Amino acid sequence: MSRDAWNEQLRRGALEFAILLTLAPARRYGLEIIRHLEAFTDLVITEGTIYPLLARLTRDGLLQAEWSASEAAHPRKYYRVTARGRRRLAEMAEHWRDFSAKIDRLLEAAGGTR
Amino acid sequence: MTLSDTGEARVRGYLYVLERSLRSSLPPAVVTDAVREVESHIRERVAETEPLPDERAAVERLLAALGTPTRVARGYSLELSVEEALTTGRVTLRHAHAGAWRRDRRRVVGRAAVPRARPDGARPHAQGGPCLAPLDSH
Repeated sequence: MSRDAWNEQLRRGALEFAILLTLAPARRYGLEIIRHLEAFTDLVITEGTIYPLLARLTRDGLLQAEWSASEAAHPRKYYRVTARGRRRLAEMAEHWRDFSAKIDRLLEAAGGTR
Repeated sequence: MTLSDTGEARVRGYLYVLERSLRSSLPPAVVTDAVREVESHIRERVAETEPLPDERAAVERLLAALGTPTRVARGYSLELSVEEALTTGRVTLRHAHAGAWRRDRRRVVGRAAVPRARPDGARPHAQGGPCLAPLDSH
């Protein structure tokens, strides 16, 4: 696997987790989610890839979506994390910490990579 | 930035292609909702863009950041395909291709691609080559 392909898989795998984290404190609409992700990460390469993922997370019951026409000149679709989504987020956070700690230990055991 | 008729036509054209592309794989209600959401994204981006002498370049930059309409439509199709495959357990070529980048795909394709035992009774991939494990083993 090329370096780019590996990076891409890692990025895509983390995106679902990052979206749930972004929405955990408050509801946000699509562009707000993208801006937040761009402020903290480089996970969003193509903005349009966020919307299909949001749609699936909504179908999976992890997010709840609702249109609002009162807050801008055009309607916005807001997303919030459901109770099920919060449970999934807690599991993902725990798994992520455990996973990254193990990889860190491996890196340390390998004497770093430089 | 407020779009001229030309800029507006470009945005309309983008949304038209997106809608046509989505129609082939998604239910009408989902298509309507998806197009509405992408249009909302574009309107928001246009509104926050400072007026520029070259409106065309600004609009093209904005749409390029979003991705081509066919690419956005493919994203919806891929998410739906992987979901269907995992829900039903059925795998089609389209499904397998759909999840090429997702962790879930390993399970889906794994089931579809488990090699049959060879006539001589040897286990496939016994030489240590790459082998996709059966779904149940993941």
